[in-house]
Amino acid sequence: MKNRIKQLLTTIVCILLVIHVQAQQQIREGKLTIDGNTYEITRSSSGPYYLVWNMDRSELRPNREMVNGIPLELANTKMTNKNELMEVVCEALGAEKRAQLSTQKEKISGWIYYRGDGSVINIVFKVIDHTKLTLNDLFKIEETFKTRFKANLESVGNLHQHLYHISFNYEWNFDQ
Amino acid sequence: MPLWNLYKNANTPKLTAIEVPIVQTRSEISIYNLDQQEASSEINLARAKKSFTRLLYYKQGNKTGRQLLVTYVPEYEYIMDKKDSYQKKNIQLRSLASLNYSGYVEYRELNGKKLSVLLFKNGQLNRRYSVKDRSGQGPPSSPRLWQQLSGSLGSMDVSAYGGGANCDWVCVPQMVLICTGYMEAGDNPDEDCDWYESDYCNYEYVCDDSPPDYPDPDPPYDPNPCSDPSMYWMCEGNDDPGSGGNGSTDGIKTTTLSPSEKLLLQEAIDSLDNKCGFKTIYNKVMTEANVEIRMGVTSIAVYNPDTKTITYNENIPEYTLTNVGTLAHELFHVYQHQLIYGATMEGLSPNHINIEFEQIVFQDIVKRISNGPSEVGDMFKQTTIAGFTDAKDQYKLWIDTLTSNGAAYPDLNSISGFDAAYMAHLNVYKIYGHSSYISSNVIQNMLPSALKQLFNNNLDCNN
Repeated sequence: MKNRIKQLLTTIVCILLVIHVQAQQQIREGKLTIDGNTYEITRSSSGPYYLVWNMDRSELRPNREMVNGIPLELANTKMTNKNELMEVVCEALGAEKRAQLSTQKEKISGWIYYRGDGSVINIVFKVIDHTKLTLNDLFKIEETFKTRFKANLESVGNLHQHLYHISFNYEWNFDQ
Repeated sequence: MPLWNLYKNANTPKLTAIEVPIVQTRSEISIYNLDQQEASSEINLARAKKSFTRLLYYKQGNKTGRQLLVTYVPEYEYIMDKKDSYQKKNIQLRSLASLNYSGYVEYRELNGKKLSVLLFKNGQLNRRYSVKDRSGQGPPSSPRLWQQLSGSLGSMDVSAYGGGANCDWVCVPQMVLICTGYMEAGDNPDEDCDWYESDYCNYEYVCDDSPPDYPDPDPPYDPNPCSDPSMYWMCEGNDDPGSGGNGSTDGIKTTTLSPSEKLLLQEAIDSLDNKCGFKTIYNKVMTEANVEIRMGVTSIAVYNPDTKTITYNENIPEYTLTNVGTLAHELFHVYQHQLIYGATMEGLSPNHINIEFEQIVFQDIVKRISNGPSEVGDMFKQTTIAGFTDAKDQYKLWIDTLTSNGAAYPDLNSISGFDAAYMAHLNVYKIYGHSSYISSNVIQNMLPSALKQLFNNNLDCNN
């Protein structure tokens, strides 16, 4: 009887594991949806990489050229808290995933689009072909940034506040 | 923040100079009392409230100009004597004699380094002090009290002028002005600001540099401005600010700019020093080209090859003239035209994509090395066109490769396949680039000669 119960429990655990793994969407070329967010995943022409980008780009319309007669290109926007980005990524991924990335010497690069107030619109991710990351991981990173992070932005005459979007490149390395 | 439109003329017979009021949300003022005993906190506070700082810009001939901060700290007796007639706006270098000013005038660099402190009595220069940089040494381990030191400094053995015997540590009370709220030009800073006396005095190593017979009670007329006591600081000593400047300005004419516009442009020129690639272009234009900078009607700024002029937007000089990126952008066009492409460039439409993309690559190489990777590829703008991410990412990678990930300026002539790679990225930029540039057609046989002649083996930026 005891053996029967043990066998049953093992089977249940295995089924749950399979369900969990299946829920984790592997990164592959195409358009994948997770929690209502559709991501466009394309192959990079530079080598074995994928480029992953949320398809909700409604806020990425062309920036205005001028406000009150001042060209917004003169904003010269700077971000002063870039060093906080890595903390947010680490928090989103958790220790286990970070360890996997570190072992594989895998890094993530790309750029983040911010609103004038410093909040995050969306993120472009570039990951390697056989990445340890799933789309769920990238979604979690993006959601964590959207809900928990604000860039400190400075510009000439605070012109950046009139921009619809501002982008800064990043590269996250998990070796350390 | 300087209030450029409120500048005051501070010219001397030899120097072009202006004083510009500045708005500060926090400032720290040294309440010098070098020839008297220690004063009470109330007196220090009263003097602090009547003290103020201006930006001083001056230049000699066609040398590059220089900026300093000049702080006026009136004596308590002077404030009491003048009462309501004491107005900060009336006090300036050229009015010290006519106002019978009694107090200190402190000159320091924009980075805070103090140069000299002059004491005026009834409008006449009374003593001249210099504040020496003794950072790291600190005051004596058992510093004497301020009143003892001030007494000794005030009665220094002036026969030892020029030697170290006239120097000593002095405790100078510090008053700190902290303003809250948002201030605009014209606001009265007294309304939103409070003065605080710092708990700790500032130990300064002060030297009395006054010569033995100084001041001369009956000075003869001398046309040399360096003999003018109020300009004494500009002409003597190792820290002679009048000798400042970097080379000639023959290549860039600014004769039609107003003094305040020249000052604004100077801000951008000074910022070039932080980016070797930008500075190299500036030096090339200065020595091998000629261009006139004017104000006029344009969006931001534009270089016209036909007239060899750079025209800045006349309506917003405080935004355009101060922008180092704009200056480097237009100077690169001067370099492209006058040193490389000549008539070929004159025949191209404004904002031609070949000319502009080469300028963008120039800026991105400099930015990658000076600022890191975060802004590279910013000029790819067409986010809604398919393939945008790949195009921008490829370009970023290319700039990383050219600069060894930001470690060094490249020798483009030694990079195999550079021309082909450049043209490939240019053709991609035609699709995804800045809307002002992508309307023109790419000239496929116009290779990036300007970049290759700039970033070559002779570029002196990697040392």
